[in-house]
Amino acid sequence: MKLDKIEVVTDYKHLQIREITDTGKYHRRVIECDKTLADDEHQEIKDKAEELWTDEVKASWATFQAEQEAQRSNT
Amino acid sequence: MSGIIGGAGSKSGVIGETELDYETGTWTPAIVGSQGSAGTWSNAGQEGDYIKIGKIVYFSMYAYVTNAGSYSGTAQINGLPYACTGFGNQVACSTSAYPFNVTTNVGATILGGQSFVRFSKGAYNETNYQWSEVVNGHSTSVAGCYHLA
Repeated sequence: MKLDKIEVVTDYKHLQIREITDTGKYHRRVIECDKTLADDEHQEIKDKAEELWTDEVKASWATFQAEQEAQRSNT
Repeated sequence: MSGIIGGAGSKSGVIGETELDYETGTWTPAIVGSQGSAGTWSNAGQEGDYIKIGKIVYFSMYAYVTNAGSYSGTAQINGLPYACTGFGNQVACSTSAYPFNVTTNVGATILGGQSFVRFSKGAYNETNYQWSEVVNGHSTSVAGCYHLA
């Protein structure tokens, strides 16, 4: 698939990816900062992750998820 | 209010005074566990579609697990096309088939900031389904609507 667009969303710098399939359709996915990028990932995505996914961002995302789980367990 | 939104693909249009983005496409659902590693895991039949209008997206998916592999933790569907907004938002989805050997209805939710669907049970959907409860070969269909981050 051909990389079409990288959008950076949320305070945790999620990479929202839009690609174009061989049939010309859009295909989307989201990559969070706690994910390991595949070796064959687009270089542009690797570069963006390297730039944005600081230790501070990763720590904030981990804290957010822990608080979210705690909140959910209280419902 | 009336207006025109263009055909398939990414368009913008105007309804009344409001300009809207419109996009359709596909995504690749993966039924996985929240922990552990894939190992020999595999799923098949994956189909995922979405329609985005403004800040709202409607999604649907179908897939089934063929090998549970080495995952553990909670059972979830990864790969949603957009991140969900908010902190505590728990968006309810509709399940018409699920990867568990149960006869009761299975809840499905998306948490704020996340891009996966989690399965739940209990009177208040307070308990997550675990990966150990997933049954190979069970068709899974989920659809829902959520607000974009």
